[in-house]
Amino acid sequence: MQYLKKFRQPLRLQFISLLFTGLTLVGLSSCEKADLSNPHYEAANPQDQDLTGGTWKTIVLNSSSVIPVAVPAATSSPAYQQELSEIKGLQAQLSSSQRENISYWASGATLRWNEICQQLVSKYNVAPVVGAAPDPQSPFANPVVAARIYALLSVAQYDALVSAWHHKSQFNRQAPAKTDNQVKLLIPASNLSSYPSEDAVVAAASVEILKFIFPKEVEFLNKKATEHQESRLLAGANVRSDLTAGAALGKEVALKVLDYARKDRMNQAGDAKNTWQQAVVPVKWVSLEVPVRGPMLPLAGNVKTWYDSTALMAGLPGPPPAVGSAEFNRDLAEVRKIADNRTREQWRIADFWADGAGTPTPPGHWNQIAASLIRKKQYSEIRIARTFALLNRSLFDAAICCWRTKYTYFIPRPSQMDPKIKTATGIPNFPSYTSGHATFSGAAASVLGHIFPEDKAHLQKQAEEAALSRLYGGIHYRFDNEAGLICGQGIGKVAIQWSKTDGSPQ
Amino acid sequence: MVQNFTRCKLFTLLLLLATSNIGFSQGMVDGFMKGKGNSSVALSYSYESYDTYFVGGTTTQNPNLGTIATRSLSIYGVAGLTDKLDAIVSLPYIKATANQGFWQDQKGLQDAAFYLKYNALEQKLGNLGSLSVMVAGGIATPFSNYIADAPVAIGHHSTNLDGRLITQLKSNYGFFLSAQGGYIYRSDVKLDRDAVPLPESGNSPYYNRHTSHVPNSFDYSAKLGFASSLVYADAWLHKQEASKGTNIGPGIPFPSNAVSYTRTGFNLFVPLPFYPAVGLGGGSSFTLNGKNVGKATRFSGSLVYNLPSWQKKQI
Repeated sequence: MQYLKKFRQPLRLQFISLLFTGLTLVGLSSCEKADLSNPHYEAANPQDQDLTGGTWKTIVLNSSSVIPVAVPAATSSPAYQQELSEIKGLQAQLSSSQRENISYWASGATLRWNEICQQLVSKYNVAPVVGAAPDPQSPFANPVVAARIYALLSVAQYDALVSAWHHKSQFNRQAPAKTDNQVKLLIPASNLSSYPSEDAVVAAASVEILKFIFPKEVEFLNKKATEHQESRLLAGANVRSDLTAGAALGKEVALKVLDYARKDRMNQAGDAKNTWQQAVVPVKWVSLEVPVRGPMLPLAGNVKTWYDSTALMAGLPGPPPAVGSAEFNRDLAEVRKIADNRTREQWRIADFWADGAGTPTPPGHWNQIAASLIRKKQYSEIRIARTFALLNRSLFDAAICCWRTKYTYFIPRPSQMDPKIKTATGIPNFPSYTSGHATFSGAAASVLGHIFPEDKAHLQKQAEEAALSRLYGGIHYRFDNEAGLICGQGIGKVAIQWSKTDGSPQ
Repeated sequence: MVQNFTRCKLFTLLLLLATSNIGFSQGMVDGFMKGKGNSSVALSYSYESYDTYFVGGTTTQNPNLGTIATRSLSIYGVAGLTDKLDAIVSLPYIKATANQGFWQDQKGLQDAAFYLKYNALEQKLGNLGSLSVMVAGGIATPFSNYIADAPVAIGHHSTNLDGRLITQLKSNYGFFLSAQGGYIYRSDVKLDRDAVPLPESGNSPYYNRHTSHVPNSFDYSAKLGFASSLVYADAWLHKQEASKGTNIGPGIPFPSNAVSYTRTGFNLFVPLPFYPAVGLGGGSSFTLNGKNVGKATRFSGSLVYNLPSWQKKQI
């Protein structure tokens, strides 16, 4: 008893401190991590809907009228009235997830599908096991493949929207909220006619392209497309027949674009017969990977370009400094010097632009940059698609020109010439000259600088930094970057030339 | 015997605390109190390496990295502020290298740590010895702007808050058994790049753009040892269990990976016979299994100096 008494006082204090710790532990373990979901974007509210967009030049389609769209039912017809009832029924009981859905898609159809495409590219941007046969179910979305995907997606979206604009002005059916004041419009009003739905056009065209490339993602893509279409009904922006007609049109356009894709010679780019091995150059690139891996897409340089191939081929870079020449050794020494003394800031720049495995690739990075510029602008849907189509065709052509150059000269990576050069990023498994990053960036910055003149100087700086990032990373010579930038800028000029003749006011 | 124990407190060490490498801090606190006025400083070196690592729970090797070795030089200090309160500090300098491929070595001062440990309960158990219960809390925060998101790195660059409960049973003959459990909260880190989450992650990605979460973890360990004025020895088992997080994969930021492991090891320490204020220690540890972590083996050695007490002897 005495024993207990003696400890009673201190025990109380001890109890309190244990309790306090217990609470602290519970507090720590219940600390929620911050929400890292994407920022909320305002609903698009373009003042200029580019109503004459139906006259703009199509890319794969011969014209905006080649794919017919059925004449819609009159707004006075019983069928249409029934469609209005469907919307009113849905709007009577909107759930919070349905409201979120409306807001998600209202920020821009083309922009959202571009984001989805970036996510899928990231997921599939994983090099297969060395020696494994290519798996068409799980394509390796490397930078060249990714550039092609972004281009096919953007071209299909653009051609489908130009067609939709053509039919919209032809039929001129009003949006449901305008024909029936009991239908609430939950997104900003638009003076576009609603048949066929531009959202359904974009969703269907996008799904068709993306499921062709990523067959395993059909379910995911269909779910997104259904949500997208549904959001338009819920928002009171389209009736179901607007969506059905739009989806049919979008799909037809995408099928035409896929016909183009099947004939662009990309299926031979992998060089199944290893013809690249026959090329004879003084000092030839070798794979630095263990085990040795065949180089990426040696015949990508023969793939069909989107823009004028004569002009593009005329702009291909000339030969680099000969391996072992004084000029070559000077640039090699520079790579070594940077690698030996790499600063934290140089590492940051190398990592920021690396866009390697598991990322949307450098073309995807430039799509992100384009998206952030577009979001500041309140462009019409069709103008957004035009911007991406101009950009992404130039990026794929940049891939083609760059790869053609790489497999002309077979220049070794710096670490092959000097194994003491340590890198801040993975060494890409293909020849060094010219830099893909520099070529992509030169083209992208030129095209975007033309569309967003007020950002031109900044874009140019970004392109130069992206090119330099490869020197900082230790995987490219300065001459790779300089030649890549110039070639890319040339491709940009050809793209800008196209943009000046496409019938748009810009 | 009891006096013996008081003396041996002087040697109870910091060396249990091998270094705090990536994902591996073997705990900053043990079950012994320094006692008011007593303090020690230690310098320890450790070498840790692995050629096999866990992706999720599956082991793999990467011939383009080979063996990743981590060498650390750490300083520690521990001081008894009162008989019931110890303060502990540490700062490691770490160098990590891969012996294959071309990834740049990483080196630098890693995370500075500061802990307080309070002896909440000290209960004599007659002939059995005594039982003590301690609570500890600490913070560890990056001391330099080191690179975290790379296959060769020295840390995750998060600031960590650690809360734990320690209990120790000491026999009168020098044997002891201790156990501790804690929870470590880790702050988000800023990435050098904008990461794109996988489509599956929906609206609650674990990383996005230039921010990555770093998984919190539960932390448990048990230790059996013998402490006397002539020698200290222990053997331990340590488990870290990460809560939510990602698995190692292409494009996935390294700091967002859920790092879990079970490690075991031992330590040995002897004071110099002719100058007992200084002691030498050594230890080793092994990874039994884990997730998103190297199957690493570590060897460490340390030099400990017990500073003269600033508290006047009262007897």
